[in-house]
Amino acid sequence: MEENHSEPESKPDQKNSNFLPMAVVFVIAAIAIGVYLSQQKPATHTTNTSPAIEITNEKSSDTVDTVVNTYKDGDYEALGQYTTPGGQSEIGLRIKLEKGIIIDSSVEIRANDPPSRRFQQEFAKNYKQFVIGKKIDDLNLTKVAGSSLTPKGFNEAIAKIKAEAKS
Amino acid sequence: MDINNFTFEATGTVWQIDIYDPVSKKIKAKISDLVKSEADNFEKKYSRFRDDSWLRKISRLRQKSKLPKDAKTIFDLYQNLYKITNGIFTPLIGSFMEESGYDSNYSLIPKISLHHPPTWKNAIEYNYPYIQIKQNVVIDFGAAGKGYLIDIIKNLLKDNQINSFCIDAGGDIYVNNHPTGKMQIGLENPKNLSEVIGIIYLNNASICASSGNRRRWDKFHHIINPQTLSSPTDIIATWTIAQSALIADAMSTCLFLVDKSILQNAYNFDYLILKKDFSFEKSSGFEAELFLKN
Repeated sequence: MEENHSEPESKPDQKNSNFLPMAVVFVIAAIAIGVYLSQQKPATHTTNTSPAIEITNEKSSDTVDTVVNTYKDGDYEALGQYTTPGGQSEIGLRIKLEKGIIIDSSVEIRANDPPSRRFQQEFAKNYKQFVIGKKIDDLNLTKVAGSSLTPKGFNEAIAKIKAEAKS
Repeated sequence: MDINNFTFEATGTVWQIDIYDPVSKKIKAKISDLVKSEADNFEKKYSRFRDDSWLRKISRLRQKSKLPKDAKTIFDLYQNLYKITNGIFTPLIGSFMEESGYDSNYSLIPKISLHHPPTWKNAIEYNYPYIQIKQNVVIDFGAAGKGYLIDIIKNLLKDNQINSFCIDAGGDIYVNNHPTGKMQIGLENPKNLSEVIGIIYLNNASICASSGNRRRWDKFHHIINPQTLSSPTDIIATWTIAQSALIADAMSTCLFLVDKSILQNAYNFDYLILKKDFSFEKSSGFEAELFLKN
């Protein structure tokens, strides 16, 4: 689904909970700030000569669908506010729930100043990986097609290099 | 339903074989021994991580050598894919992988100077049943070797009257006559390994996946373009379905490197390509329930 730049429609199916949108927006805003900060990094990182090691966390922290198990199906929307170096900023979020799982979502870019708009656009392009997807445990799947389990030696070598890079 | 299964390590990952046919303990033990010994033989022939493998020996010897019986299938595939991808899919990437740090000691630190791999013509004289390696190179079958071993084990099971089974090589899977008619398989979310982005239903076919998420070092992951000497970043994962796991495995890597139409003209397979913004492309035959929206 495309990101939504237009004004929000009237709230179509806002069921009996205000907590859910707040919880989701809190997570989304945290990610947005994370995106914002990670955008800032390269400029201050030019003197770092250690090898750039990236490693995927086996069990990354839970996304929001564990929070929402008790909520009714339907569409929800909310605004998130956060503070940037350029002042207050705002981002809109709409999600669609089915059986307690977010099955679709869109972000509304509401920032006015160019840097914040740019970060929100970047966020809108990349946030879905954090909110769409279903827990393997919840689906009772016994088989998953994916990248191979990394051999032990590889992981140990990565850990060693990271330790050396820090010392 | 009782499921007999056994696991072992090979090709750098954990393999699990599930047998759904009713079999005695004795038969299961026999099958398990046969499969493990086949996997071990395969690595003795084709692993680039084993200094004593046949493949490393012929690179050191640089003499005309006779190929093992099962080598034709995989050499033919690599030769044809080399041709249709203009050398972008190449077993000679092995030399570059070692230089860049993905070697048998997992040093994971690139050498100061990195070289493009040699061309097939300059390095390999392949004329079944003979082969001669002409320079000091490292041949790497990492992009399809695991799929080939799945096919070999599949045939071994069938030859031993096992008809209903699943082979899972760390996320690359073949399922034969599943008792439920079709096996339900999740598609791993490469950005959150406790999640799936969809479900497929599979029988008498193989699904293989590739993703740059696990084997990463320096600026590389395990798929490297020999022309740019870099790992593709616009695609974050691919899934492919084919009758043969060898084909499915090779295609899942090739999709990172060349346009899908080149591959579809040459091989029968279905695909799902996940891009870094979580948009996707899939072939019409890739029948999955996806939790993604384009």
